[in-house]
Amino acid sequence: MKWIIAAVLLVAVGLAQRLLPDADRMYRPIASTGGINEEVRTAPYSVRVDGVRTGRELQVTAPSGEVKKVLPSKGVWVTVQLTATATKEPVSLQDVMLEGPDGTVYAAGDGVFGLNTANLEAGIPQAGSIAFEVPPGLKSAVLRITGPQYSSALGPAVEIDLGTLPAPVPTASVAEVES
Amino acid sequence: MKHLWYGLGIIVSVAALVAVQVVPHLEQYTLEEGGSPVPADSYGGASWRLISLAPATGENLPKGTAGVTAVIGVTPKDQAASKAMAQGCSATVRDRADRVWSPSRAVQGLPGLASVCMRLNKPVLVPPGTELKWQASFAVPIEAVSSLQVEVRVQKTEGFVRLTPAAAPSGRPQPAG
Repeated sequence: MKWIIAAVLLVAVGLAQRLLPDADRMYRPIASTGGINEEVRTAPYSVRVDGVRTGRELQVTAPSGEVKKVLPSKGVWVTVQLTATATKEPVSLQDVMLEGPDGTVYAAGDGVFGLNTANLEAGIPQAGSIAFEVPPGLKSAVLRITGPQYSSALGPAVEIDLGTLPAPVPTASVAEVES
Repeated sequence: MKHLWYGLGIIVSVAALVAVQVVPHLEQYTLEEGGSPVPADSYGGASWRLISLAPATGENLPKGTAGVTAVIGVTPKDQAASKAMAQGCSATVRDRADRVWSPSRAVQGLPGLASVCMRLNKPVLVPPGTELKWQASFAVPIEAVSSLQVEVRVQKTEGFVRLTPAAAPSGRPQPAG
């Protein structure tokens, strides 16, 4: 009888090991989720996506209002208009990505200082845009914000379903912020 | 059944023991960010005072936001404190709800007053016994203005000094004096 119990326990331990989530799943950021025009709150900040546009090229405007550069693309530029507010202390969103339906993630446009680089202050909503360059034909996307990283595990995160992306216009625009 | 009661008894005893040890000193178990406040007459070997915390004008401030400027006086007590101050200071403001704001470039400070805690002309070190006045400006939500306190940190110096205004900021910006 003892041997049977021992064998059952061994099998149970083996099964439990298989059911354990891997380290990536276990320690991934804890995400608050929402959709467009919804205030999505996480401990250090809240975010509301106000709109999404796509364009074949991206016009980048400096904080002073002058056009800084126009970036072409072999794909499409997606600009996400959002309003973000820090909760208690200054914070910067930093790590912002778009995730496509197949799980591919696209980082915010390199060298474009969108709202993700702004210093958000507590209780002061700041509106702005973030630009992403994605392949043509991307139908839908989820905005993922995983910064700021206080530690490598179980940090705050936001996931906002942007739904179906609109058809691209010739030029999308993003206004840079003072960081 | 007897063992169950023993087990429950141990759990309750351990919980009570921990509570007796922890509850009287609960404040020591809270997360201290940036160290603990140090008395204003000894932080970094210097004496600190808040000369004024007054409304200030800002440029393109968001709706519902107000500008304030803090003028801070610091008197190093000896040469070591003078050198410590030259490492640099940073000021923040904190409101009743424990929200913190860093200085804003969108708010205009007072003319003729530095925004760093060292002299802008040589010698940069402030002589011991001499008060240096410097300022920091902030953009904060209007409802926070009445409960602001100023916190100053000196680089490479443990803790910070918390300066409380005699009254809530009101009226026009005061002259640097």
